[in-house]
Amino acid sequence: MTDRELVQGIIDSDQAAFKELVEKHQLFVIRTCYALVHNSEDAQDLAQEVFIEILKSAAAFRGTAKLSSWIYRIAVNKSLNHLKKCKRRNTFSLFSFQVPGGNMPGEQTANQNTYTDGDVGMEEKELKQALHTAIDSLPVKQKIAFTLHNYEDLPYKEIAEVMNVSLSSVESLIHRAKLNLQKRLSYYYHSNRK
Amino acid sequence: MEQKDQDRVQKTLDFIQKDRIIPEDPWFYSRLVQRIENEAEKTHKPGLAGAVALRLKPILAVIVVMIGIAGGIALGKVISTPASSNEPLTSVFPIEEDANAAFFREINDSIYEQILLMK
Repeated sequence: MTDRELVQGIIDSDQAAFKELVEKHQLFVIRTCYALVHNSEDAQDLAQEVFIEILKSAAAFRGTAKLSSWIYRIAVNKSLNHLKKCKRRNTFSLFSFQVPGGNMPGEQTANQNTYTDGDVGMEEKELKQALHTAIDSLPVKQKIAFTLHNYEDLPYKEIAEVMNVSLSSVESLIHRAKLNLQKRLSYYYHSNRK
Repeated sequence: MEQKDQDRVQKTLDFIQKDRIIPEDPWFYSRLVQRIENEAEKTHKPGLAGAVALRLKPILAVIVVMIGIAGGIALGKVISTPASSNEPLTSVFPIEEDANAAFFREINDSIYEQILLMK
């Protein structure tokens, strides 16, 4: 089935079409959510929400952009909303580490769920923590552009479509994100060495 | 920046290739469908008639119990009412009465009693 047929099938309540769409896109949706929230359980929940949103608003898909771009956009929005909610929850909580579900961006705890926690050594855990902290410290637009490019291998053109910005803006965002990450990581390692 | 720090920064950025690996989840679709069904059940609210019926349930239960009790009492009355209810209660024990009557008849008839009465 083509993307257009899949969407039409969902509009017509065709369960087989919905199943095909989920199976075709679930991996990249989960990965996008995970790249932004850094928590495997939250990423799974968010991915489910993404597909529920697709089910609800399939009729709103105009077909001018690629279906995958539309799905990426929903996944990014859901993940950003989730991070905002976590931030708000933590702001209102006296003890932020007691808040159930989700951590502050950049806030790493011992029980954080990630996909590779089970069988990694200390060094990999440190690398992951440093990486996630650095990515979370980026401005939102840089973070989105960087994760879509580096975690999803999306070309600049599709990132521009997802983010609804120009191609040159995407290039600039990714370039600045890389510089910022290098700066922040070197500061992180420099200060940890002292 | 020292060479060692530079290497670690590069190593951290290279770690993205490992961090982006997501395991396949064969049950994702099943769990998604389950969640959609659960949410549909939650959002399905009863209408006005349903809400009224829900409120009236305990009242209906009390009424049914009271009807049952009243029916039981009425049925009990019908079953336990004796056929000769107008007769005095003593007639319920005819054997005892007969025994007493026989006793006094016997005394009156005895010879000792006759002698004593004559005196």
